[in-house]
Amino acid sequence: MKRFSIGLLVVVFGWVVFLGAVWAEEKTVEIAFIRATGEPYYQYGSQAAEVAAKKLGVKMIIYTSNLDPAQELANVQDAIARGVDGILIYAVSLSSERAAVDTASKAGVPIFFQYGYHPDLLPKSAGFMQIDLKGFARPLGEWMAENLTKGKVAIIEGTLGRGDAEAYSEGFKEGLAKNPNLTVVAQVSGEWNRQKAYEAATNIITAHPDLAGLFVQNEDMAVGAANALERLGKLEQVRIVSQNGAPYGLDLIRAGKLQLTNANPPSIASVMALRLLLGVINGEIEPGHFYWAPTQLIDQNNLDVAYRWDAEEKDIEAWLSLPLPEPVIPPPAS
Amino acid sequence: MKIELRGRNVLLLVLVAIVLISGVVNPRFLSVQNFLNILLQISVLGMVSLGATVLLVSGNLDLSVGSLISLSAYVAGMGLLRGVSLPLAIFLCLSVATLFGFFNGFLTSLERAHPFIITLGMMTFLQGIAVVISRGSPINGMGGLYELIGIRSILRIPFPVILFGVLFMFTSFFLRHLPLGRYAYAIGGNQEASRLSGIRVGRVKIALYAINGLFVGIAALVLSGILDSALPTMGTGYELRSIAAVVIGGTPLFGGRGGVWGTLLGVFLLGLVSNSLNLMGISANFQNVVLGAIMVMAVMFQGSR
Repeated sequence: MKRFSIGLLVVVFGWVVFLGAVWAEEKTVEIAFIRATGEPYYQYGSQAAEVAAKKLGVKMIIYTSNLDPAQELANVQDAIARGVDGILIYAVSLSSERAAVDTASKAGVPIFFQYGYHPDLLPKSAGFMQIDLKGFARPLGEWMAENLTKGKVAIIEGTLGRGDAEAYSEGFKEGLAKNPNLTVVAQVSGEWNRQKAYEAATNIITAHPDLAGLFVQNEDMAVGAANALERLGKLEQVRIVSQNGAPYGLDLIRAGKLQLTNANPPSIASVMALRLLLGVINGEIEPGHFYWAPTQLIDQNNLDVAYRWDAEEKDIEAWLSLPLPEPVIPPPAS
Repeated sequence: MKIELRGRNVLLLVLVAIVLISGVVNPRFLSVQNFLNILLQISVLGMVSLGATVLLVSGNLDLSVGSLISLSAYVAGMGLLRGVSLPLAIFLCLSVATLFGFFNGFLTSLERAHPFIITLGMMTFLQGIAVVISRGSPINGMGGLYELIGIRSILRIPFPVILFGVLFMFTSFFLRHLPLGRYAYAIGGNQEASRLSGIRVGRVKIALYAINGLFVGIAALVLSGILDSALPTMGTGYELRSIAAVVIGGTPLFGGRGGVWGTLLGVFLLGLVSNSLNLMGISANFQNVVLGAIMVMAVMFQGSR
């Protein structure tokens, strides 16, 4: 018991010294970067924004909501209590931001959203930046409509319930509809998970051995699906398209296992969002505007000029002098 | 007077230390607004943890509470979306939660399997129903529920905090003074002896699970009111965090002792650590390391008593 008490005191003392040193840092402009999870997409986004913030003389603090809307709201409240000058947030869901916006606007702290757009919330926010979910997946369906003459197509979706996976499926089908000889025969959730996507691809190919095309809603799952098809000797037969442009997705394209991806690099998007938020804080940019996030269709022809998730410092520095995205006027209706 | 440094005293000491350190590092931590933030942040977890305490003292647990939060909140949201009155939507939410709590209790009382397995299956089942009825889509806007619970305060104290306080007092009274509460401790201490002494163990379990379900329903209403939305996955994670809070607070997993005051400290610890780390600007990647280490230390200490 005595040993435990001494241990506890040592921990407490160490904590005081460490945190005292943290607080001793000079106070500069502070931005809270609240991300939905610690997954690679958000990690690369926050890392690029951190590098950019450092170059812009801004202090950035990273929070994670662990896909929990209540934790997200707690993070917003804590960031405000800490006294940050602005909040950059990847919202947990497409609908839980109202409480966050209300809290931030009541405290007079500008909050800029990456994803989760809702027109009612736009006037109270510093801005929104995201992709058009349906429009993002549509070119992938169009590519299949043009490159496959006829046959069966399947979709491996992300986790249902946030609205994004559903919208991607809808957009893909709209593009695919340009070729009436193609039929969607299966829609299975891979829950954004590589292992689950592996199992989903195995099950789909068992049910439809003559499958011609596969749309996988992110490249983490695409790796699992491609592995499953390769193991079953179907990789040559099935054309795969995916989304996001992650480093492992680009590797799949390089290896010829993935035909096309639509990239929405979190790195350049977060840097642009940070610059827009700083503009609002400094009074140089009008708040309450909507922006499209940068996207890029990538195949084997333009692999080398793709915006990388794992961008190097010199790339991020170059992005600081790129023109900022223009606001979309009027903003989308939903 | 000699004060022993053990159990709840150590937990209190850790809490005081966190408050002092956080206050020194960032004076904003000690603001009234921040304490109200913390109280609001822990209110939902606190309600779920009170239900978990009632079950854990009787040697039972419920892993389906997270899914039940999602389902019952979604049912209320669907009702409001289709134009039912607010009282009816609240009634629907509480009924669904209590009913499934009752059902959990019934299955557990059959004693064909451990509650861990039964409620684990129920967790998947309820999550599945939530996704099926929602078709995967969230509900935006809870209308009057947001006005009633989400933004209302009384003397600056957010309504969910007051509700948590009322539930806390009720649970404390229930466990200490009502026969059902005392039976819970008896069953947790020795189920067979309780049965031999005339306690109808099966019925008591059903009642305890139903009470737990009711608490979960209230938590679901509060969470969807605060967030002004209902999502088919919104309760994910509450099952483990609530059990962690109860165990940190000194109620053992096998039951027989413990209580709501320890649970309150456990819930405070989880909320306080998270809040103080955020206010100190500790990196998100490092936060889970600290939080996990504190949880393990707290539970290890409780286990060594």
